[in-house]
Amino acid sequence: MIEQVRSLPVGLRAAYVLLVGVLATLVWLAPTLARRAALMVRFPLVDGWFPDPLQAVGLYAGVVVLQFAVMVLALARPSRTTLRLFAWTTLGFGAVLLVHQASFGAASSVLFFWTGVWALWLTHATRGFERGPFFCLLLLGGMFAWPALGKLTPGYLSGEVYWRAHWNGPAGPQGIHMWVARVLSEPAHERLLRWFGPLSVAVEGAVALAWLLPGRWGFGVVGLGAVGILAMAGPSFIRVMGIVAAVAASGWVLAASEEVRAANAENAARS
Amino acid sequence: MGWPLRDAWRSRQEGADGATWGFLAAMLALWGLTLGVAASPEWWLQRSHHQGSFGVWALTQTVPFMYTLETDWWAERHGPAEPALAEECARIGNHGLRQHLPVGQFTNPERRPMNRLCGLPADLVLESRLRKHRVRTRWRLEEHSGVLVLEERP
Repeated sequence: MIEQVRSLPVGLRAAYVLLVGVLATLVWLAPTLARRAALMVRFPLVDGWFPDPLQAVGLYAGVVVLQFAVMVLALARPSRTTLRLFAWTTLGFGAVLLVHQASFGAASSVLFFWTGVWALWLTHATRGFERGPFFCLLLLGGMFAWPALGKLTPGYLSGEVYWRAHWNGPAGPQGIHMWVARVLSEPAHERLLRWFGPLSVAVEGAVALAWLLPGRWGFGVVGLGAVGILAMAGPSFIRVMGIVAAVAASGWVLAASEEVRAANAENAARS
Repeated sequence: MGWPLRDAWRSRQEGADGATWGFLAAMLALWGLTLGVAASPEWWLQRSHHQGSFGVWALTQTVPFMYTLETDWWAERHGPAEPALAEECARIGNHGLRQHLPVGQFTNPERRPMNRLCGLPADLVLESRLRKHRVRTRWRLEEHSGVLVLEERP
C-alpha cells in the first residue's frame, strides 16, 4: 500500500494524505452526523425557506454514506480515478451540508466544502505543483480570515467572551480549564482567559496571513495556531482542526517533495 | 523550503492549467466574500435570510464561520432573542422534547450568550436547529403528525 502511494505523482500523494486526515475527522464526527439525521426523523420540521430536497433526510444520509464509501475505496485503492472521485464527493458533501436544513451551520461543513476545492486542484492539476504550498496557505488563510475578522468586537478583544464561555458560565469551567483551575487561582485564571481574547485574534490573523511567510514559518504558524485553538477550546474543535491539519499536511507534503524542490531550484536559476 | 509566494510567482512562466485557474477563481471568491461580508455585514445579512433569498443565503454560507456573525448580528441589532427562543423551547418542551433534550440548558438566558458566541455543544442540537431557522419565527405544531411547520419568517 505504501509503495503504491509513493509511486503516485506528487499531487496525488498529497491528496492521499488529505484523504487520511479528512477520513479521520469524519470518523470523529460520525456520531454527530448520525444524531442530526436521527433528530430529523424524530422531530421533522417543515420550512419553506429550504427547497424540498434540502429538507429531506434521505439526501443528508445519502451524501454522508457516499462520502464514507468513496473515502474508504480511495484509501484502499489509491489511484488517480479514486482520488479524483474523493475530491468531487468531498466538494458535493460539503456543499450539501452547507445548505441542508440539518447542517445547523456547523463550521466543519464549510471547511469540508473548501477542502473539496483544494482536493480538486491536487487531483486535477497537471503541472505547477511548486505553487501548491502557496495555494495551501492561501486556502488556510481564507479559512481563518473570517474568525479573525469576526472577533474584532469589544467582547472578544477584552477577553470577556472567553471568560464567560470557558469559566464563568452557568455550567462552570469547560474543557481544559477544569484542569487549569486546579493550578491557578480564580483571579489569575480570569487574567489568563482575558488575555486569550486579543491573543486569539492575533493568532488567527497570523494564520490568515501565513501565505506571506516563508514556507517553514507559514506552516509552523498554522500548526501552532491549530494546536493552540484546540488546547483552548477542547476536543469539540477536533471536527474543525482535524480538517485544517489535513489540508496543512497535504500542503507540507507538496513543499517537502523532491519534485517541487527541484522545480523551485530550476525556476530560481532561470529567474 | 523557500517563500511560497515567491515560488508561485516564479512558476508563472510555465503557465496555468484549467485546474489552477479554477482554484484561483475559488480563492478569489473565498477571500472576496470574506472581506466583503466583514466590510458590510448588515448588507449581506439583510439580503440573505432576513429579507432576502435562499440563493444569497447559500452563498454566504461558504464564508467560514459565517454563522457566528448571523447570531451575534441578530442579537445585537434586534435585542435579546432569548425570551422568544425560551418561549418556543418551552412550548416544544411541553410537547415532549424535554424528555430527550436538555431543554433547561437553552431556556436558561444565562447560558444563551455563551452558546451564541462559541458554537454549540453537540447535545444542544435542537437549539442550533432553531437558531438556523431563526429564532424570530412562528411555528405551528401539527398535533396529529407531531411535525413543526414554519408559519412566518420575518
